[in-house]
Amino acid sequence: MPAAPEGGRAGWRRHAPWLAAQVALWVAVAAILRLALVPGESCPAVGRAEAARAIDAGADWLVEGQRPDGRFRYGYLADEGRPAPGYNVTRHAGVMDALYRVGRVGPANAALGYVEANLIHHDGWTAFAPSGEDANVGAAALLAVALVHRREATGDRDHDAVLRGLGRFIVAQQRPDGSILQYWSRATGASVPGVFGKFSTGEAFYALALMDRAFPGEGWLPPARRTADYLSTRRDAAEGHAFRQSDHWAAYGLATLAPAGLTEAEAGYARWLAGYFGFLVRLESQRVGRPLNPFSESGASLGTVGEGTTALWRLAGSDPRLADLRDRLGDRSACLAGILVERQVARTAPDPSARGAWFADGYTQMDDQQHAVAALLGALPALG
Amino acid sequence: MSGGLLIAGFLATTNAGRVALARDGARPGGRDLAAALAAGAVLIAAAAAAADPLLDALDISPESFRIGAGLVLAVGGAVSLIRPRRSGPFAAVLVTPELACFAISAGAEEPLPQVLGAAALALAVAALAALAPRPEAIGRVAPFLAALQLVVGVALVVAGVRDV
Repeated sequence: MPAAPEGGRAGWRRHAPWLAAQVALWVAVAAILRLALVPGESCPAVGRAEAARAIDAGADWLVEGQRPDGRFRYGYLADEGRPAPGYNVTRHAGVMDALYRVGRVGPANAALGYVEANLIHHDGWTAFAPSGEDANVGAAALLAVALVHRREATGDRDHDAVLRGLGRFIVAQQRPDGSILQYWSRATGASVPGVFGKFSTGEAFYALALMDRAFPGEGWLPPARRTADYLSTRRDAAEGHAFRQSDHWAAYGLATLAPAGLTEAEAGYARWLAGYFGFLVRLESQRVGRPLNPFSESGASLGTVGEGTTALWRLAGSDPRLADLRDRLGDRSACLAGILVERQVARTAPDPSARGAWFADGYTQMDDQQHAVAALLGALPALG
Repeated sequence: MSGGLLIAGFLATTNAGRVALARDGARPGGRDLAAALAAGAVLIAAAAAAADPLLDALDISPESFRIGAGLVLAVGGAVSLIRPRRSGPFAAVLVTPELACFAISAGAEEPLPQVLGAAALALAVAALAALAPRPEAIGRVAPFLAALQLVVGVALVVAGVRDV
């Protein structure tokens, strides 16, 4: 029997159950969108002065925990009220760099004392590794980054020989395709084959790009470009990553390389990184203030996202191919700065060892402060 | 959002094949046909025009909303693939969450005339499907347009994740 034609009140009355189902469907879709898929993004407002105070407080945590030999307090367990053991020379160099960048030259120079007592010189190059440890490109690269920033902050050229030695170590670890072997073994006196670091390749690229800025015309640009091309086009497949890796150090490197001009592949890689960091900032902002937030991001995790975002914001201001990203990257940088300031332990907190730090699950370590401080420093020009 | 994705999104979410199937089942009169097209057009225009203030009020960036809209399109497309014929009055055949979400997402990112132009094209196709002499034949494209909706949904999610 054919269906009756539609129309009139009787027709709509016949559809009453359908109408009720439709109302339920629309309400359900709206609720799922709002509560689960696309919660509101909350970016705590922050100005330059407030961000600068947060930088100071974070740097204070690092400086106050510095030991007589120049090393820093590695970690702190707030619930137990005791420092955490362990040390990591790559993080030592990274913290040194952050301190030079924020103008804490005295403590950073004291940290340089520990470095000078643990340098390896071999085959014309210099690396940074305490006795018993193999030389790690990451530590050498971040030390080079710190020394370039020291050079720029103080005008002191006393460590140029060490800096060039570190650059030669990085180049010695570089393979013809631009990849960077992470370790050089004391036992064998040779590079360890087939081992690549998650971050050390990006750190090496950033160091080489800065070396070219410090010593233009000395030949640091070609190796920097080789690794930039490797990161932009081949790294993930070559090193067996199922997904493209995020890399805030590569973002720093690309921003540093920008005055020399980026290739299309490098600009494309920068765009991909911008999308990745931008997404992470949006995701984090959707969790701000949510009572059932089950996640707790560390200062290092948030800070690296902020560092990558702010570096690419600077790059987008100088490379016209990325100019369309500039405003949004500025917004994301400011948003993350607000989140960082909000999550920092206040200077008035009862536990003096917690003040100025960023905790996750009751724990903080030196690189939490290093990355958070660097992210805030990078965001300052983007703040109102 | 590229022009191609804009047109594909509206063609998929208005799904002319589903319109033809609905007409085949409901035998609507001329007024119902006009009401269906008008409802679809009003939904699109209102959603696209209100997109910016709506997302601002909800504190949602267009890039993040694109992810949510993409998921709604993907789920709606999958459901339509399994069950292309929908119940309910013919006049409401175009009033769907996926069309509303796509219109909001498009309206938040593209100029309104461009969005309305792409939507008008899709509505014209839907109108032709509703007026076709053999709606059951046109109805066979419904699953394909549902599959297209699923693909557009996935593309929106990927674009939303990859965007700044």
